[in-house]
Amino acid sequence: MPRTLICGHSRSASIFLTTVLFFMMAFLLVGGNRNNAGMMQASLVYLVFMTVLAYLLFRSGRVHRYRSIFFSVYAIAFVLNFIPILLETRGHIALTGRDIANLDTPLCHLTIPMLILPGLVYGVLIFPTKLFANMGFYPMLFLWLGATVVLGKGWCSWGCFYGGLDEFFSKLLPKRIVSSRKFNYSLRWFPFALLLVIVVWSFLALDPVYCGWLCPFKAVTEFVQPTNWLIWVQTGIFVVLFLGLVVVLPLLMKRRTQCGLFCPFGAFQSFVGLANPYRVRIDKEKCNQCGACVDQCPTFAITRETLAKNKVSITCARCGRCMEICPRDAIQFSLLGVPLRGHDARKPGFLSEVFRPDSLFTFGALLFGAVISGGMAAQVLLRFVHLARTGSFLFR
Amino acid sequence: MLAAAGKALLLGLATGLFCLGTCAPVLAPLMLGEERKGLWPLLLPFLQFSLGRLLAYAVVGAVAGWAGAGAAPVLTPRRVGASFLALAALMLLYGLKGGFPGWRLCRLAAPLLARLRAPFWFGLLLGFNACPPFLAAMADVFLHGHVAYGLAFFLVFFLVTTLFLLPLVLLGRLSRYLSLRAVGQWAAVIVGVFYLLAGLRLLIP
Ligand code: SF4
Ligand code: SF4
Repeated sequence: MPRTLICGHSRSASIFLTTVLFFMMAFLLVGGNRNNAGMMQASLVYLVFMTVLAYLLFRSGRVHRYRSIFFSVYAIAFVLNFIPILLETRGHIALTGRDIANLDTPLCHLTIPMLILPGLVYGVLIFPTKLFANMGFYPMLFLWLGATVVLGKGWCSWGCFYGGLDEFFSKLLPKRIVSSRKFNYSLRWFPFALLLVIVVWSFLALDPVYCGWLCPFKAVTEFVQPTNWLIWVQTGIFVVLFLGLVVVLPLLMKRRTQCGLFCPFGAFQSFVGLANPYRVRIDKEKCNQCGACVDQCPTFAITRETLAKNKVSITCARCGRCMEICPRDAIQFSLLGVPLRGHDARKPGFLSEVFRPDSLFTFGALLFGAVISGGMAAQVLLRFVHLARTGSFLFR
Repeated sequence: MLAAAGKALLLGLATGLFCLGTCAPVLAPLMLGEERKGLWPLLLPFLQFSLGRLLAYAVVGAVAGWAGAGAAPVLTPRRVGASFLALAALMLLYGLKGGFPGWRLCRLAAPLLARLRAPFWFGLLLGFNACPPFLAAMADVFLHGHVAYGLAFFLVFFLVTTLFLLPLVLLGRLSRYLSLRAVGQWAAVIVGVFYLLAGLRLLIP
């Protein structure tokens, strides 16, 4: 791989950004757990972990590397927490008819595109969840709205508790086993087609069809209890999609195949994410069209065609990988409407470093990520302590 | 009727994006060719074009429904299932291969029509196209065998394809972000899989 020119922050700017972030995270993570000593201690551990990661990220400029560690930990914490919670509250993982009738299904953000039309036209919520419960409709809606403002499409690399699983598996092997040189890049439009179909289908059937038939993450969260052959087929589809798109292909290709080639919510977020002012842009003065970024983008957002126009496509998930591997420092986080100025070390200055677009974006993204992952990560830490003490991962 | 509307919507999605993606390079200059100021001069050729398409679709819908009514006695569930499978194969081939070169009628006719500069005729001829989602729509109406069903089906089909056409022609912005052709192609593949399942359900008791 060509030599890269990663642009980190000076020591003083890194310490400043990390300190401010530390106090904000401490207030939001630890402050909320004042009445629970165990959670408070676990949150403190997580706070230290996030603070160290943030410092390393700012100082080294390796956004992708340290984000990737955070993102994988977050997704694994989600799964390790979600299933035990179901076992503790319901006594079983598989959804029964009674759970559905009682609206006991946690809502996830993937359903949002399917809920909009039926909600607007008929005023109904077509997913069996409670409106105000933890992981019910309104909490998830506000989480998504907040994420869209702070992260835009960056949700897919900093906020989505499923995306981290793709990320994790894509990082496990040191080298690619399947080259993507002959990859058919038109596949990256598949999620948009799937989005169109499921939105229309769900509206007509008044049923979130993606959840019933196609969601790969049912394999590691919850699924309807198989009681007839049709539900067995559906469950089989979930497992095959999960193993294929989230485990095997990311392992072999070292790319996030579920996120880049399948997830309809990612396609939806590509559009609504345009409301967020941060962009990833290629400086045509610096880029020599070497193509390293095309080969490395985990979500297939840069192709030879987009590169020729010095653009990344609408599907860019703001992961930072291209910036890390570009040998000419030609790709940067930027703010809409602000011309690219270059952020190389030749222009030092405390304030200009702190207010660089990449500093602002990563600061907001880390804070948002820490807040939404904090509770889960702390709970999982406590579960491990509980496991060591009692031999059980469940609290009761 | 709701199921009919659903199928028409999905086929409209597939055909709308793909065929219009193919025809856009010709269609856009036709709509926006001359310097036109204001909304009405911009809308008028679009409305003429849409009227042409609507007429074509109404004729196709009514004829397919009428012909299907005549053939109704011989249409057993097994035969319907088999024809669904054939349609699924057609849609999958169409989506995966990126269309059939020989069938790109609008592309063949486009230079002539562009010279005619008559949006109504352009719409009428584009309306009688032969891409697989359109054939799937015709087959669906034929298998139902009702003229009214055919008219309703193609009305929805028309509305959905118009939805795609409108931003494409009037705004042209969506294509800045997406490859409409590729999205349409993949939508055809997904709809093909749905037809495959529907066909199998009819064939396997
Ligand atoms: S932005 Fe240009 S110079 Fe940088 S990796 Fe991509 S093609 Fe190479
Ligand atoms: S374009 Fe760059 S920042 Fe965007 S997803 Fe690809 S590698 Fe990540």
